[in-house]
Amino acid sequence: MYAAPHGAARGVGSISVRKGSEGRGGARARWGADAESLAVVGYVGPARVLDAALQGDSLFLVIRRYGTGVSGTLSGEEGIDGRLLRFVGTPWDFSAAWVRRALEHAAVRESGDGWILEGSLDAYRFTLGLTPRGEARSLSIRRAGAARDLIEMRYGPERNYTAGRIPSWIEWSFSGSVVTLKVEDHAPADPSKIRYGTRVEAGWTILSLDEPGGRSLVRWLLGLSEGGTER
Amino acid sequence: MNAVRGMRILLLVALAATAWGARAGSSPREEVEAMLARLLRAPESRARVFITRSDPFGGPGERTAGRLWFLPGRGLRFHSEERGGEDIVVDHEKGAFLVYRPTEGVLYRAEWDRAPARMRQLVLTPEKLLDADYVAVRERRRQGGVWRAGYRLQRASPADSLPNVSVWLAADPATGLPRWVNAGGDEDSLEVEFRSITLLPKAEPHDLVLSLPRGVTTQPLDPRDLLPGGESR
Repeated sequence: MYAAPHGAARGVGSISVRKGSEGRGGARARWGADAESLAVVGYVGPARVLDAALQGDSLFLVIRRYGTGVSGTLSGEEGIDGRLLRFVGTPWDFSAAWVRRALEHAAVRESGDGWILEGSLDAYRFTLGLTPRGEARSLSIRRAGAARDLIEMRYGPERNYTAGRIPSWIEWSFSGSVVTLKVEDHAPADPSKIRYGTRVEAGWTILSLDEPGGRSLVRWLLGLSEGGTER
Repeated sequence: MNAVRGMRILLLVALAATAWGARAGSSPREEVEAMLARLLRAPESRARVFITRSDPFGGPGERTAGRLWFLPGRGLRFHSEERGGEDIVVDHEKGAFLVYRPTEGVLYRAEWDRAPARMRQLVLTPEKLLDADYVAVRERRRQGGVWRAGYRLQRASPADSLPNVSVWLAADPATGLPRWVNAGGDEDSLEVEFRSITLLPKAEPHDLVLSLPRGVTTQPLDPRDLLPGGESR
């Protein structure tokens, strides 16, 4: 299915965010992905408001509106490391070697009208629900030994795009937040056009992930709070 | 929650307009200044704008339509005409920075001094743009399928108030008012077409007033409170 090796890809979609009783928001997103790297740009109206880039465990993120960002290495302290974040960011892409390996070693059982795969992604446990046609339907990830899922994902029906067949929408649920991405375009990309990070403008404040403020910014952006998923 | 950066560029290029009314023999810089002065001295300007933003990853661009009101000394407003688009207002007299998001049914409110600094400067001291340390160079570009005469603005020094992007602008031949403006950086570009600009003889402050449907809730616009420091730019 989505585990076949492939080249760089870019995409366009609309994002809606719902967080408990705090209301909802929306934005446009464009992304470029190549191997273990992912770059995302967020827009509200004509304004480019957010840049984020992940290369391995290295994260760069800036909210242009406020000239404030964060840069550093993800250590897993917040429950998520770089390659898991990379996988979770484009959860239709199972082509990374460590993900493929995890799928190959997963336990498979029938479940209603489909299949369930259960296994380990390093320090995490995963449960992947498949349709009878082998298309991803749901995926939940939790830390080994944890009582609650770290994140749950639901997959919409597949659709053909220029770069292949992937779900038409993805829904992430984590820490009381529900984020839905409607995929409008998924196309092959020139890897040289995917820039990771952006030029830091004079006056911007880029915090380190090692600083409390940097971690607070990431947690605020990801909507992270203590506990697991909430639907 | 913000079309602010786009507005900033949009306003800059609106003000850095074309050489309408320029005298024969004047320099490109003088020609640009002539247009700047015309806009800056108008009590209010209104425009319908189409903004096309490129895809930094090589895909097709995306177009947004909206309306812009600029009242020097008082405030400005951008209203997106897209479905669910935002309405953004900075109003110095009311001391307010407002962002209305119809998709959320929420009006985000902050104090004037929470609005981006460059936006506040544009409202309060727009003529400072005339003093910006830039160089204007005549340059023809293909725009809207036609080669058009315009100007490329270059920073003369790294400390001036122009953003660190390449800005090109051209006039509407029919009115002499700015029509096409391109602002491009290393990663992406923004094309703005002013389909029409109207200069008003008298400012109409009610243009800055949002008409909100019933049931809209007001929330603070304060994510920066989570962070140390952080005046918006």
